[in-house]
Amino acid sequence: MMYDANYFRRFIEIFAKYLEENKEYLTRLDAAIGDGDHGINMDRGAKAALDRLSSTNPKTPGEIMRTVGMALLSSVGGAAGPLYGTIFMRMSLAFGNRDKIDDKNLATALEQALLGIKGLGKAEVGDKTMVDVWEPVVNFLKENIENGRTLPEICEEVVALAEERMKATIPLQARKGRASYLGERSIGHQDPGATSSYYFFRSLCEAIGGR
Amino acid sequence: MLSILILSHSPDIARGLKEMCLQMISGDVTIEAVGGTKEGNLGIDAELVLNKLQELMANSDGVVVLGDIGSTILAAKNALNMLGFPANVCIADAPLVEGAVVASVEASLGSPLQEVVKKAEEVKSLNKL
Ligand SMILES: Nc1ncnc2c1ncn2[C@@H]1O[C@H](COP(=O)(O)OP(=O)(O)OP(=O)(O)O)[C@@H](O)[C@H]1O
Ligand SMILES: [Mg+2]
Repeated sequence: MMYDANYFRRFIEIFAKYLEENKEYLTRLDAAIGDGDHGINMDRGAKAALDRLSSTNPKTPGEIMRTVGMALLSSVGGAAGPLYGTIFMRMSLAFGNRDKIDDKNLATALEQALLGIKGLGKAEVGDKTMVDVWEPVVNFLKENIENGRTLPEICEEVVALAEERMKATIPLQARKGRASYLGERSIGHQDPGATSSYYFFRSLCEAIGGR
Repeated sequence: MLSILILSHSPDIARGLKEMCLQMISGDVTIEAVGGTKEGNLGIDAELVLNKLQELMANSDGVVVLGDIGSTILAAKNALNMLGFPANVCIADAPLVEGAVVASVEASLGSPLQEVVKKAEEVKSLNKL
């Protein structure tokens, strides 16, 4: 399957919708183990991204991702700004100036994004961060796409895996980010960044219209 | 001439620490501070960090960056990634207040970039009592 600029716009719109609808929820999760701003931060960032998309009207998938990345960098305000900024910038670089992205390009771009956030924040799986969702989901995508399956075919599994890994952050103790200052008090709460990452992958799947 | 870039979650800390550093120096050093979000709340504007860093790189021989918790360092590292790891910018792994003061003084004495970073990082083991 090929993914064009319209697909990526739809993806951003759906992601923004989830972040808006779940702004209070994400903020409550962050209030339990952080400073209670993740929902507000991400919603503000997504709105800034939509604004810049409509004012600059980028034409290629790579330009769209770059526009979103810069908007997130300037408006998110917390750790999620550089982290999500890196995700979108890395994907933009991987897309280059292609008009259409295929499943392999998409998998490569997501892998680059994962390497980007791991390089930036130095978190590993089990540290109770967004990497807990990103790493297994990207590995799953990569493996299946290399074996000839397409995103639409594996969407249900991708969303289920993202949700499972998001929930699996609950019993963990945070070792990175602001929540790590809480030590054992961070146990028993779902990580906000893992939760917004679940919406990221869910949106990527729903933008296909296959779900 | 070197410059120092102070990053804080708090606009007040950024402003206040810049003032403290300026008071300590005599020589030629540029001190800049970025703190808080665009709206002036707690947080960091990672795009502004990138722009400030580019500006300081263009107008000085090297930049020492210091930050407080978490996301300020992520914003700084992100800027370095986007600029292709320029050789004349270093993030000092040091406590923000003491590190910035020491770095400012050291830079105003005309020390080279690596020496300023080293001096700032040494404050980690400074005993106050
Ligand atoms: N070093 C890191 N590596 C990967 N993810 C991280 C890291 N630090 C924080 N996160 C993710 O960011 C989420 C919090 O995002 P948020 O925007 O609320 O930042 P924050 O912790 O409030 O930042 P700040 O340090 O500015 O207070 C966490 O739930 C976690 O998933
Ligand atoms: Mg937070």
